[in-house]
Amino acid sequence: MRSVFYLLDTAPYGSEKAFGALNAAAVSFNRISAVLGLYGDGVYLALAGQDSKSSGMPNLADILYAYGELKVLVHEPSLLERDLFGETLIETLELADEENFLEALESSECVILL
Amino acid sequence: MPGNPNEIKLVNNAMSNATRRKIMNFLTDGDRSTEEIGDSVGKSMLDFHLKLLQQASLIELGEGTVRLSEYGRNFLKDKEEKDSGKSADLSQAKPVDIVEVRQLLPCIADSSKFRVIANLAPPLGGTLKVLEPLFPRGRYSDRINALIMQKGEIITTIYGTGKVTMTMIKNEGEAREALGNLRSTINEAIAKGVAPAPREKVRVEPMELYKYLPQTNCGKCGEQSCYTFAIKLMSGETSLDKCTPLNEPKYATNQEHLQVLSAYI
Repeated sequence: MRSVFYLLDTAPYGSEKAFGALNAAAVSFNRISAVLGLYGDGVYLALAGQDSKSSGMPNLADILYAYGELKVLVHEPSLLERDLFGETLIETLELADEENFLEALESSECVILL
Repeated sequence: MPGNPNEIKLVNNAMSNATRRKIMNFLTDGDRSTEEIGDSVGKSMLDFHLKLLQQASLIELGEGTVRLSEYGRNFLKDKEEKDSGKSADLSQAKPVDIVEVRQLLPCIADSSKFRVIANLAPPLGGTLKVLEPLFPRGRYSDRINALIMQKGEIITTIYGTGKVTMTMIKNEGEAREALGNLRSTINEAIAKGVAPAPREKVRVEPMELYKYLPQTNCGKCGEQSCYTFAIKLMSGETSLDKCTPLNEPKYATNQEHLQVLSAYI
């Protein structure tokens, strides 16, 4: 396998899906082309200034910073639908329109939905 | 013209998309018709992108024409200066301090080590790029506005916003020591007020180190072979002085070469 697209479409906290997707992407991006795509409620992971103390979960924004070279695509229509386009986003992320997001997803050899 | 934090957020987010960056660069040569822009960047999502750029006050839309706004033009000019390092004035930079160290999760590659995140204040912003030559194995990434450096097996990333992350850290003590050294190196350069001269990048490979080792696999260094020693030398797990045969006169030139190469590890 040469490329993988991890698709995250659930909110970052409340389940371990986002944590799992993030760790899986972080493990693979040095060996193969790995992209983490944030879609639907997954785009909440793009917000800067996350505070996870009350949830008892690790701060996922910190993990994104720790792996700054990991390619993370944020689905812009999902951001706009949730009125998040005017919020401060983590600066290591790339925003992608519908077409570019789908293109990245389709061009990957494997898509993993967590 | 964007000035308040909310408007600046819109500008940052508008510029976080590759198609919109292409449109902005395309407009630097002058006003364009929407047709021309569509031919250059693709037509299917063009209205969407133009709308977001307009909302961020980076462009102005006329009847079938698009032009950079005054703010958009200044934004691109500032960015160009920042990218070339012209506007990074070290003499105006203030000494930095480590304001917070948080221990994160175990490293994925080695669960006995940790990833650590810290904050550097005040943030270095665009000055970060000119600091790259201070670190032999450092490289600046324009994409994420961060300076990434490796020392031994520890990889440190400093972001323009002040966040610092470190991987493969043994404990908080080691993190604090490494962060302290980082702060001293940066503050020393700031105190001088002059950006360090760009230095030639030398990429050292284990095979190159091996070439100058005795290649006798004597085991005096505690490793099974000279090649293992070269790999551990690269990762900072051993030091050159452990190879005692290098002190023999016949290896004097090799030792000199290795000392030079080690400085770039």
